[in-house]
Amino acid sequence: MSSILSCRDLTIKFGGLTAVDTYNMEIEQGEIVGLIGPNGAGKTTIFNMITGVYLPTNGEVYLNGEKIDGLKIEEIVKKGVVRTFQNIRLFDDMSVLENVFIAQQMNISSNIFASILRTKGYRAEESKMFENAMLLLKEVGLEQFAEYKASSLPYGKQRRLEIARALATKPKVLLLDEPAAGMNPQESVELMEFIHQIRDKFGVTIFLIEHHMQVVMGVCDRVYVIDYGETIAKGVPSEIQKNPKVIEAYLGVD
Amino acid sequence: MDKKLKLKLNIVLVIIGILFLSLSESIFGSYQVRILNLCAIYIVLAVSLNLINGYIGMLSLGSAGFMALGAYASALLTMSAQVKEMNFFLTPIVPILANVELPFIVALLIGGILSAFVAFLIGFPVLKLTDDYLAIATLGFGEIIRVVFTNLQSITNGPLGLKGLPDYTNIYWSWGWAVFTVIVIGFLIKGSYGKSFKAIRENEIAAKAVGINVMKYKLMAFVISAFFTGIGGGLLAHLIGTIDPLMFRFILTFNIVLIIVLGGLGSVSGSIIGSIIFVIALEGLRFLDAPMNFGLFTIPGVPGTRMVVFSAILLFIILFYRKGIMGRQELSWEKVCSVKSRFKRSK
Repeated sequence: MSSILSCRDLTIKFGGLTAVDTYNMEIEQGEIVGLIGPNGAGKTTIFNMITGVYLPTNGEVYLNGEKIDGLKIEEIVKKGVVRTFQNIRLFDDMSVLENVFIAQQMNISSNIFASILRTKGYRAEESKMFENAMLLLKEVGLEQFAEYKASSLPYGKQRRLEIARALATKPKVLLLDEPAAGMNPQESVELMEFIHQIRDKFGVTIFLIEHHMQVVMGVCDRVYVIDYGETIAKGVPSEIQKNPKVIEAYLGVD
Repeated sequence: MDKKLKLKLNIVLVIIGILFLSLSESIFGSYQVRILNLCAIYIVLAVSLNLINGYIGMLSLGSAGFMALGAYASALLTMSAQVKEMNFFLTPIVPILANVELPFIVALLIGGILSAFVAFLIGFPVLKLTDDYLAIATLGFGEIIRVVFTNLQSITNGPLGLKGLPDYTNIYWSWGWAVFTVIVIGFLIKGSYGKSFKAIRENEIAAKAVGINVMKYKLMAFVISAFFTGIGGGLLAHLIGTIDPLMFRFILTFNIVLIIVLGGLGSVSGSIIGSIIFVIALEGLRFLDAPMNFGLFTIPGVPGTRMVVFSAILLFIILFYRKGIMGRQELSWEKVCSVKSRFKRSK
């Protein structure tokens, strides 16, 4: 079986510093894969290369066998790879519903003049977008907050909204950058359930960066561990936990 | 409030507006009519700049440049051959333009389109910049246009400017365009494109991350804004009747920025209110420049006093309304009623 998302020898150098060195990865359809490593290991840099924020110095990224590195950020989103951010980035001053609504804008077929004239075709498309957005909010349990300002939601719900917004782009692969960051234990448990739920409901493949070991062990089918830009281990969570290299990277060694 | 009542109120408002404007030329003197015209032109300019600065969140200071393009283009296309000959006594005008005389609406539209086209050309490099850098680049653009126009003697008549423009701009033209601009930009903002503009303002990185082609959307807004700014320039030129490059200095852009900040960045109705307050206050305070007799003592007329007072008033407004008069909200009947009931209660 060919993998849905794969990285081959992905490398990036910032001046003399090699932030990520020959990173190789294969993710199968429907998997939940984790990426862990100490601070500054290059996890977010890998995300940035996959989503087109950084251009890799070397190596390629493939989505369903199609090369996507070098494409623009919005083109990669269109292909079906979408991400969330470590520090939540919502459209703060807009409503929860609008946040999800906007995420469908890239697929709109009416042009700007149709939107000004509010033609029949445009209105139909717009109401369809609102319907979809509402449906999605229902799926993630945010429908009662639809008219709230995004910034007024509590932290855990903002995360949920950010994920819902990402799902509105109809992704194949969802990249989550530290989804449990800053969450209390209760919220983390809810998040774990939520991640499983969206994988099953939306059929997306999930690749996530996480520091909460509890969350990683709870949701991930497989884990990659990197340190100083190099892959030091990969495998199922239970193996990773016992791997001496991983323990060394996280806890240090005498 | 139910929809029917709102519709009725809107219809009444529109009828009052039309009656007021159509009668204004016979009720008021030419001075008052001129102020009304200026209000409308500033509405066109402010609403179109607000699309960039308020909705998409870019700091653009190129209004004067786009106005100059629109003003010169429409002026050169409406002036008759004799007037042009009289104007261009130092350097003759280029032959292509010498005999063109087009109807006002066509000339205005060409001015707007020229301005939009130039916005499209400079948009590619300039819109890659953000914040202060964009402000400096667009400011530079405005100055470049002015300097180019000062030196393009055979097309613009250089520093001598153009005189004797036909005074086509009247209440109908200016308010017609003001209403049209407000409707177009209002509907644009309401639709999904406008929502995407706001999304870019709120978080550009997130907007990109949900697949919005930020550069394309910025360019669209920039071009639309430049079109209406060009139209505003053309209207102003045909109201004043004479234009020269010095008219399109930075201070002109500054006035429009002031209006949109006063009215509220990201509010169309705020820009309308801001424009009206700005024009009327600036004219209404003229008495301050004249000598004043307070009985016991007399203040000699100091030219510029009104500007000092005007600035002080603006300072106070901004102190008490940080986000401008309207903030990011729009005026609605509900709001008008709630203000009214608040007054009643306080009595």
